[in-house]
Amino acid sequence: MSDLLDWSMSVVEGVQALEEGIFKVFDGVPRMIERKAPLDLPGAWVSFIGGRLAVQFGLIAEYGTLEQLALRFTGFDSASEIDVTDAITEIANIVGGVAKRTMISQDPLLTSGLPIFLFGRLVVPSRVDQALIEVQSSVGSVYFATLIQKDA
Amino acid sequence: MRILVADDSRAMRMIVVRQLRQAGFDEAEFIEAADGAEGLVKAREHSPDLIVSDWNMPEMNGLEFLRELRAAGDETVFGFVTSEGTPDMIQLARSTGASFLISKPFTPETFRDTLAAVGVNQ
Repeated sequence: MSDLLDWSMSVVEGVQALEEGIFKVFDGVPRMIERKAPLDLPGAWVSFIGGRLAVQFGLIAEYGTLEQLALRFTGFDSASEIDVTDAITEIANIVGGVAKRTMISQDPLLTSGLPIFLFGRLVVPSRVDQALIEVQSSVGSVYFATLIQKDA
Repeated sequence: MRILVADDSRAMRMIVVRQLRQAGFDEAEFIEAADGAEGLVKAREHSPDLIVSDWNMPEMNGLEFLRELRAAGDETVFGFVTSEGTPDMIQLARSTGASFLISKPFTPETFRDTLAAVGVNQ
């Protein structure tokens, strides 16, 4: 479970790094919550595969929330579906990238895949550990879900 | 000054351009490309003074883009702006001929300081 905890702490750092930089998209404080990830929500997913770790990392929320995050991220007045998927995958990629940079010392072979946006439910392998971080923002709850495959 | 920005995310291209303008490059002409292959074509067309590229892109990634440029004898100042940035990748970027690697998230000051350090001034 320490991989999951380390990854989750890195995700919190990633969210905080976004807030301290130019990407002020969240106005809440990230906190780990004890529940399963709401995988029926839409969002962006990035996979990280290494010699020891196999991680699926996602940014998921109600679509209206994702749309508001995309508008904050881009500064656009309105966002098409393509704009929303583009912006949300980029945010997931940035936060996941911060986590990867932290975890690379534990798995030097860790590489990231291209992020994908899913409107439907992510199919989750049976043997995974999950962690969920929630950021309650003024535009709704945003979730960062981490799924780490056991015995990868 | 001409600056080529290559990133498969339209949002990120826009943010990079905006941050470069805020970093003092407000008079620059910006050219955009959605991947390395398009970047290569635009680089040949426009002869930019600076290329800022994402690392992970479909079609042709940033590293392949840089390798193609250097193989063709193009020595344009080239830097990565990426969510990556592990020590191995920084080393690989350097050995391939990149002048800098900026990890996301970044600020206008990151651009200003990095570009000044590699001798690119507005």
